[in-house]
Amino acid sequence: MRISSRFFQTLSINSILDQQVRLSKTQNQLATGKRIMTPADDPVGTSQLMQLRQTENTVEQYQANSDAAINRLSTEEGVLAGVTNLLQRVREQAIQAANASQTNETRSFIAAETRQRLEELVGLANTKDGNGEYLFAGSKGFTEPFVPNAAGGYDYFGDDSQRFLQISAGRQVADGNSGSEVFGLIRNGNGSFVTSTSTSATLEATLDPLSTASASATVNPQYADAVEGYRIVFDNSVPPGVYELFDSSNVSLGTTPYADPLNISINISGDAAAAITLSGVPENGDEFVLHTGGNAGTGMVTSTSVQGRFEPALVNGVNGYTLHFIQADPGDPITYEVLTSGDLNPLAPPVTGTYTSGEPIPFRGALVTLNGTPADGDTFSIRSSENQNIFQTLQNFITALETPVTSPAEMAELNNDINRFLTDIDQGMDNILTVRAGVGARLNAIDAQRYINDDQLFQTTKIISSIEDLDYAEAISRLNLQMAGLQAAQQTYLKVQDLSLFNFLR
Amino acid sequence: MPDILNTGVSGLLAAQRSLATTSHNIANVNTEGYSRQRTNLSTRIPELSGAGYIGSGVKADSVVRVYDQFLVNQLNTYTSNMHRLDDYHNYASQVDNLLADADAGLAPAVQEFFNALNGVADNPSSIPAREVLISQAESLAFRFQSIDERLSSLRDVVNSSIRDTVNDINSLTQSIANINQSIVLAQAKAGGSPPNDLLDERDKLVRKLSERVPVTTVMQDNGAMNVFIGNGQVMVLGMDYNQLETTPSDYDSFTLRVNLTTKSGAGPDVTDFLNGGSIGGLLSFRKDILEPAQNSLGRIAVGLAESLNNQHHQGLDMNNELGQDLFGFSGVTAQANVIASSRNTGAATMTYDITDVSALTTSDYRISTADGTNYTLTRLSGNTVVGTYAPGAYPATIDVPSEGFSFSLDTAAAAGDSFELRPTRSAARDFNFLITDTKQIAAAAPLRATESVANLGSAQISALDTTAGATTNLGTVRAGGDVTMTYDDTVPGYVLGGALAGNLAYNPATDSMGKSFDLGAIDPDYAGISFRLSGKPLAGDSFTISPNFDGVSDGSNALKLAALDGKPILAGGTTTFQNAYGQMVSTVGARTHQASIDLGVQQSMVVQAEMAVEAVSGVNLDEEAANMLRFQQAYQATAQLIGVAQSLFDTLLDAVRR
Repeated sequence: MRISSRFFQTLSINSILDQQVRLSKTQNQLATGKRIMTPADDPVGTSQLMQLRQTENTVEQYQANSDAAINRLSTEEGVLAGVTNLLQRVREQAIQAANASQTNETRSFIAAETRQRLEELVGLANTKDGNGEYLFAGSKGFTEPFVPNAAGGYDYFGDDSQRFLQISAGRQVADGNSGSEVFGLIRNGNGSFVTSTSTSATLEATLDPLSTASASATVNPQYADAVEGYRIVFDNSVPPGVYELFDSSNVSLGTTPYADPLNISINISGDAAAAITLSGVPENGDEFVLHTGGNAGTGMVTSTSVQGRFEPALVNGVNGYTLHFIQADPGDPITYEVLTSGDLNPLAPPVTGTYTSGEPIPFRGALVTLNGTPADGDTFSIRSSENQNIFQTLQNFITALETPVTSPAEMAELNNDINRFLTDIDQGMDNILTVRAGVGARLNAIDAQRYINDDQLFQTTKIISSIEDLDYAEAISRLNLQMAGLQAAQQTYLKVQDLSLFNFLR
Repeated sequence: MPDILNTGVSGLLAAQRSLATTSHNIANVNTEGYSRQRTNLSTRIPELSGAGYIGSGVKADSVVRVYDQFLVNQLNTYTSNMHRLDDYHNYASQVDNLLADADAGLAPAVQEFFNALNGVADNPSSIPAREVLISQAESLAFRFQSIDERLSSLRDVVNSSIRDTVNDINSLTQSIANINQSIVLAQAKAGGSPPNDLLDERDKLVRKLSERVPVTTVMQDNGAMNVFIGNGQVMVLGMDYNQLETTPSDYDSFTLRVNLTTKSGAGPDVTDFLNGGSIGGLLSFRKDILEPAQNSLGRIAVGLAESLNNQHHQGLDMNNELGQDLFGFSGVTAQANVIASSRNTGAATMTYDITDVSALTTSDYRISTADGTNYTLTRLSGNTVVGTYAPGAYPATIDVPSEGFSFSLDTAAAAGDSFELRPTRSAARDFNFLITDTKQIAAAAPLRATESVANLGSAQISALDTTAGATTNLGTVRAGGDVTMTYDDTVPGYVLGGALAGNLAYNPATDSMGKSFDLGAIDPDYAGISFRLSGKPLAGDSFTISPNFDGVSDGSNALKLAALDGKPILAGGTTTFQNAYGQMVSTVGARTHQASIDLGVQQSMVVQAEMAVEAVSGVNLDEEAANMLRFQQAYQATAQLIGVAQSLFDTLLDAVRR
C-alpha cells in the first residue's frame, strides 16, 4: 500500500497531538485531584454524585437541627430541674406547716415564704431562651405565658403546640413542651379523685322542744349559701299533717303530706340543692331551720387510694360523690352514707356503714381513710380529679395557711387542706418528672440519631470520594506512560521525517 | 528506413513530459486536495517495411489524475458525519460544563434554599433565619435565570452559526457551479482531456461543502457535477445553482429554520432533512440538548413554584395572615399565551394553564386543526398524538390531565391554523421570588387545637393537620372562628359547636385507641382538616380547634415546606427536584459522552478514508524521486540515440567522401 508523504506527516503530527490531549487531561486530573471533570466523563457517576452530595447536605442539615433541639431541650431540662427543687422545698414547708406546734403566726411566716416561692416559680415558667422566646408558651413565643388574674390565680396565654425539628428522614422530635403540659394540666388529688371537706347542713329545731321528730339534711355545696335559712313548718290540723317549706325570704314553696320518714328535696333551677329527712312524731307547729356551714367535727381525710379503677360520677352536671356522716343523737354510733353529689341520692346499691377512725371507706373504686370524729351532717366530697395548675395549688396552700385557726374543726380543715396540698404538689412534681423523663428520652434519642447520622455522613463522604476522587497511584503511572508515549512519538517523528530518497541524490 | 533520430526525439519528448509531470507532483506535495498525476505513454504507429512493422518511438498520450471516485465519495460522507458530531459535541460540552460547575449549577442553590427553610423551621421567630431564607430564595431564582440565560445565549450562538454555515454553503454552491463551467469549457477545448487541477479544485469544494451539509453528487458526461443535499434537493445542476435561506420559525423568531430558494422563488423548508455536517450538528444540538435542557430546567422551576406555593398557602405568617405565593413567573401569570403560527388566518387566541405539575413533561406541544372544528394535540418529542378534541362551543377549555395542563380557545380557529405550546420553556427565565418582607414567610400552622382545662376524662386530641391541595378554603375556615367539640355520652360522640354544627361519632368503649376525623365530611369548606381523638372522655369534656394567632414559635409549616425537598413530585410523583436536575445533568452528560465516543470513531473513520484516498492519489516523494531517476535515465538513453544517429550519418558521409 502506498502512503503519501503529506499524509504521513499529518498522521505523525495527529498522533502527537492526540497524546498531548490525553496527557493534558491526566495532568488536569492530577492538578485538581478529581477523576470526573465534567458530567460527560462519567454521566452515571455524576448523577450518583449529585444524589450523594444532596444526602450529605441533608444529613448535615439534620445534624444542625439536632444541635438546635439539644440546645433547647438542655435549657428546658435546666429550668425543670430548678422547678423540681423549688417544689421539693415547698413540699418540705408543707410538712413543717402540718406540725401541731405551729401557730397562726408561724404559719403566716411559712405562707410568706411560699408566696416568694410562688413568684419564683412563675418566673421560671416565664423563662425566655437565648432568642428571647418564652420557653413554655407553646408556639406563642413572644407572648408571656403565665399572667396573674383578678382571682389571684394565673392564666395561661400560650397554646398547646410543640415545635418539631427534623433530625432524620423519618424522625421529628419536639424541642420543648408547652406550659399547659408542664404547669397547667395537672390532675389534682391522687390523679383519679380528690377529696375535700364540704359544707355541712344541720337542721335546728326552733319551736317545740318537746317534739320527738328529728331531722337531718345534706346540701349540695354549690347551693350552700342559697338554701341557708330555709324553713319547714309542720301543720297537724288535718292528720296526718303536712309540712310546708319556706325559702329564706319566707315565700312558701308548697306542702308535703307527712309520712314517717319523710324526704323533702329542695331544687334550685332544676338541680338538687339539699335533701332533708324527717322522722319521729312531730307536733303541730314544729319548725326546723336549715343552717349550712363548715364541718363541725374533727374528721379529716388522711389518705386516699384507688382500688382498681375509680368510677367517676356525673349527675346533673355535678361531678363526684358526697360522703355524709350521720349521728342522730350524741350517744349513737357515727354512720356514713355515700351519695351522688348531683342529686344527693344514695348510690345503688347503697354504700353505708358505721364509721371507725382510720378504717378506709371503699366505694366505686375509691378508698378514703378518715381520722378524727366527724359530726352529724358533716360531708366530704370526692370528685374526679380536675386540672389544676401548679400555681393554683401553691396559691391554695398559701390561702389555707393564712386562714387563722381558732377551733379544732378549723384545725381539722387546715390539716385536710395541707394533706390535699401534699397530694396535689406530688401530682405536680410527678408531672414535672414525667416531662423531664420525656426531655431526657428525647435527648437520648437525638444523641443516638446523631451517631447514626454521623455514620451515614462518614459513609456518604467515603462513597463520594471513591466516585469522584482520583486514584493518584493509577493517575501518576498513567501520566508517566503517556509522557513516555509522547516522547517516543516525537522522537520517531524526527527520525522518520529525516528519511527521504532525495537525501541520497547528490 | 526507420528514423532513429525521430524515434530518439519522441523518446526525449516523452521523458520530458514525464519529468514535467513528476516535478508537478513534487511541487504539489503539500497542496491540499491535490491528486498525483501520471503521464500515459504509448508507442507511436509503427512503419511498415519489408521486414514488417518497425516501431517508430513513443508518444505522451495524456496526463491523468490517479483518482478513485468511490473513495472520495466515502470520505465526503464520513466528513459530513464527523463534522455533525464535532459541532454537536462542541456545543454539548458547553452545556455539560455549565451544568457540571459545582458552584454555578442548580443543585447547590436548591440545597441552600431548603437548608434555609430548615433554619426557619428550627427557629421560626428568628428574623435573621428568615432573612437568610429570603436571600437564598432570591439566589435560587437568580440561579435559574442565569442558567437559562446561558442556555439562551447558546441558542443565539447556534442561530448565528446556522446563518454563517448557510452563507458558506451558498458561496460553495456558487463556486462549484462556476467551476463546472470552467471544466466543461476546458475539457471541450482539450478534446476531452481532463483539466486535472480544476477537477481537484472542484473536489476540494465539494469536500468543504460536505463538511457543512451532507451531499450526493452525480457526474454529467460533459464533465459537470450535479450536487444534491438532504432529501434530493438540487443545489447544483450543471452551471445552475440554488441557494439556502434562514428564516425564523412560524412560532417564534428565536428559532431559525432553513429554506431552499430557487430562481423561481421560495422553496420548501428543508430543516428537518439536514441531518449531517455542521448544520446537522447545530440543529440536532438545538433539538436534542438545548431545548430539552431548557424545558427540564423550566419544569423544575414550575414544580418548585407550584408545590412550595401550595404548601405556603397552608401556613400562617408573622402578621397572622395566610401565606402568599412564594415564587412567581414575572409577566407570565397562571395563564400563559400559546404561540400562534405566523401563518394562521383565524383570529383565535389560545391560552394554557398548568393543572398538575406531576404530570408535566419536558416536551413542547403543537395544536393544529385541519377543519377548525377538531383540534389535534401532538407531543413534539416523539411526535405522538395525545388526542383530538372537538370543543363545540367557545370559549372552550380543554383539560389534558395526562400532560398536566389545560388549554383554552376564545373562539374557533380557522382551518389549517396551528399553535405551539411550551409549558415549561420560559419558566426558568421568568422564575422569581415574590416575598421581600421577612414577616410574610408563613412558617406556622394555620390552626391550633386546645384541650379544655375543665376536662375530666382522659381524652386527647392530636395530629391536627391541613392538607396542601385539599384545604383550599383556609381563609373561610379561619374567618369562621373556633370549632368546639363537646363530648356527649348519649350520642355517643362529640357535638360540634362554634363555626360548625354536627356530630362526630366517638364511642370510648371501642375508639379509645384513637379515631381520625376529617372535617370535610361536615362542611366542604373544611375539607382536608384532619385530627385524631383518643382516650375516654367524660360528658362535657371539650376540645377547641381555633385559628392560630401569634404562633411566632410555630415552625410546622416551614417543616412541611422543607420536607418538599425529599418529596417525589415531578414525573408522576417519582422524582424529587434534585433528582430531576440530576437526571437533566446526567442526560446531557451521557449525550456529550456518547457524542465524544462517536466523534472519536468518526474521526478515525475519516482518517481511514483519507488514508485510502491518499493511498491512491497522494504524492509519495520517494516514489517521485525514483520516477525522476527513471525518466532522467530514459532521457539520457534517448539522448544517446541522437548521438548514434549522428555517428551513423557521419559514417555514411565519410564513406561517400572518398
